[in-house]
Amino acid sequence: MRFVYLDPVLTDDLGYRAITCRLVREELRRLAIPARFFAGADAARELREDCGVLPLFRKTPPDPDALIGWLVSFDAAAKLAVEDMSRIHGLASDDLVYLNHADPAWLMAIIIWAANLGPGQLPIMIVDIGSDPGLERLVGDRRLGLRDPRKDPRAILYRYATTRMPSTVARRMRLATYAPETSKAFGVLLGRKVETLPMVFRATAGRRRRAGERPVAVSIFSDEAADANDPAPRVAASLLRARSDIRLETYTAASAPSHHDVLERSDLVVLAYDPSDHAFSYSSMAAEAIANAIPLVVPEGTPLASLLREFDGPGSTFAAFTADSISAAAHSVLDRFDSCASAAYAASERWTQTHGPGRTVRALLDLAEAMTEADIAGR
Amino acid sequence: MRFLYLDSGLVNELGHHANFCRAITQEFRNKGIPTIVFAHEKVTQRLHDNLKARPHFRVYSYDINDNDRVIAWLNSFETGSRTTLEDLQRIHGLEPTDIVYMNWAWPTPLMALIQWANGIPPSRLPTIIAEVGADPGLEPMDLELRPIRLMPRDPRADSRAILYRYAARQISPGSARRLHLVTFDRVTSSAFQALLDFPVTTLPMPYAASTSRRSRAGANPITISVLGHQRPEKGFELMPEIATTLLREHAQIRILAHNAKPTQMSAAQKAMRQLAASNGRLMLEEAVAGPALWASLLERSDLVVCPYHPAVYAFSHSSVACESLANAIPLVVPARTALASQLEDFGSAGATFEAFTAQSVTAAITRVLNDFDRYAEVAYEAAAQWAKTMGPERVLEGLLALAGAGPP
Repeated sequence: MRFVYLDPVLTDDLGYRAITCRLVREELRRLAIPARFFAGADAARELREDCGVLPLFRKTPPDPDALIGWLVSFDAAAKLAVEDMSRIHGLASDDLVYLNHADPAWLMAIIIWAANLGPGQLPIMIVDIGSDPGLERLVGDRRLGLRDPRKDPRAILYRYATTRMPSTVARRMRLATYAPETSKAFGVLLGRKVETLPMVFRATAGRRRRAGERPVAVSIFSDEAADANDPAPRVAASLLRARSDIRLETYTAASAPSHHDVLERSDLVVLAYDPSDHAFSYSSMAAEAIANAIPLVVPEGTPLASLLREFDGPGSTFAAFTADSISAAAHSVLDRFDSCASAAYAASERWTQTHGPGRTVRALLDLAEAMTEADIAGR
Repeated sequence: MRFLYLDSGLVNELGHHANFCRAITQEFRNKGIPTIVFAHEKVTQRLHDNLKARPHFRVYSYDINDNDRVIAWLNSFETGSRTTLEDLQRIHGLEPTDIVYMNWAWPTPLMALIQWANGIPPSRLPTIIAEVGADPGLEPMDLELRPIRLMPRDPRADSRAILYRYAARQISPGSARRLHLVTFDRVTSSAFQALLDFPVTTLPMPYAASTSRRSRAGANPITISVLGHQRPEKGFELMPEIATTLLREHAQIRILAHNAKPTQMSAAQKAMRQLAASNGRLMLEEAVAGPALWASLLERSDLVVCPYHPAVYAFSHSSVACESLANAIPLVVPARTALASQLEDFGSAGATFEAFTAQSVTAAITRVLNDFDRYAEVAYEAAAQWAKTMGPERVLEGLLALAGAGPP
């Protein structure tokens, strides 16, 4: 069995895609499982040289059509990705193809690509379908609703792609995410089981006891989609005005220099994300903060808050996407910082019991084995 | 040269499909141009006989043939256009001199028509004319704002704008030279053109007067009518309150309420029946109107009310409004809509209402009633103007002009 890792968007050594690739690669090496890694066609040299990543996937420029660009881009990106995937040769039916953080077009592409393979040629496929199904919680209701597709068409496209999956492919493909609530939401949307994998992240050099640290280094992350109403700058101003015992930096996920650097210099991570936008989305940054013993402030009613609770709450949550609500949560952590930092350290010790690259890769291999057995039994 | 009339919505007398077909194809046949009509496969025997309509298309224009709870509209568009394309490919023996006219080409049949045209060598293409319907699926961002800024409706409720544009993006350069998109209203055409980035021509309305076209001045009692296939966006649920108020406050009126599909708006229809049971001045007609009933409804009407939702009809024309103008009947229509612009084009033979409320519609009706003879005279002049500029003969001229053919 060989492991084939696909990440069409992986092009540089920054961010969670590079971290995930490196961690999975290390674990596969440790297990002596042969592996190939395919990334974006313009993958950076350090990725190619250090990680043995093979450049493959071309980028399609987003269609500029304001009304139907999303639909045209979906078609075009899926078509190009199928062409690119068709250039991967020598696959066998006992190989495991893992597609990392697939957007709807990539999901569509792997389904079309697999449907074009002969039944005997189909490898086992596990597709991480990302962290956001494009659903929202209906106000005053426990049911899920589609977001307005003019703003976020993902739910429509994810469903469109999965409804095109032939049964021959379905027997050899599993969809997965890295958080139970995200999997559940995807499951409802797609009408099929979506697996939950352990988070791949592990402690880095940033893991240390932070109790007693002064000044406390606060890192505030704005949502990538934040607009002029982003409360993060006002949260920063409020904290700086009220407290002399902190240092503070603000980022977006895209602007952060590298996860390693940010984690290394943070004592408190504030994820100033809109609770309604993240109702079913997990966050790599939240996972890394817990793995690295860093207290957290996260939006209530989201998979981020569930993760915080799962690790005995080393931090706090905010209910409203307002500067006041977020600031109050941050103040509550800073007011009891040493006990929060101790709880965060305890959480990081427990992290490896359920998460980390070893757990992730084991779960992928177990899933592949179970699929192979089920497929053989089903024939 | 032959004229091929295609309409996958042509099944029976409900709506405008049969009327359009009758008006346009009769004119072509009268001029001796060989005409073939391709209708939905379940077209009634009556239309089959009357219009020589061949049962052909398997997908009905208005059906969502999919039960997916999330993407039925997208699935239906995809499978429906594929099936309709197959149906188009069963039409053989076309010549470049032929005219292929598709009526009411909603996104699904339009997509099929475009793909079909793209598959024919440009030198073999006939003239293809697609009438893209009356509603592009756009709404004004703000009804008050000028110039109007358009926005697509939320596709969860109405996906037409997205699908129309998606279909139009598939027009190949070869097809573009022989393909003409048309509507029957200038406001509708300009909205479609903005949406599709493709020229959209305005043809004259095919309707002609079907009554005596008499002046309604001096009518007593004045018969106020709502006519057609009643749907929520046509404001039929406002009618019980409007009728109650009008009957109470105006002794000189009667109300004629026609509903071609009473089961579709059963609550409002029930309220109308209860009202009619206690007031002989309210008359109900509950049947699909064939040519005879339709002409009789128009003949009996002295004032036609279109209590339609202003946002929904911002860019949509209305057959009922057109036929009222053609037949010299004053109108009440929503302000700042294609209907209001058309009313203005024909001398303002009626009044407009601002808000989608019974009160606002009733106020507009009352304005017309208070000056009824003047409005009736304007409507009479409008009908004369209509006869000169609209009607089947003008449509035929418009279609032949698009095909580059001279008068027959």
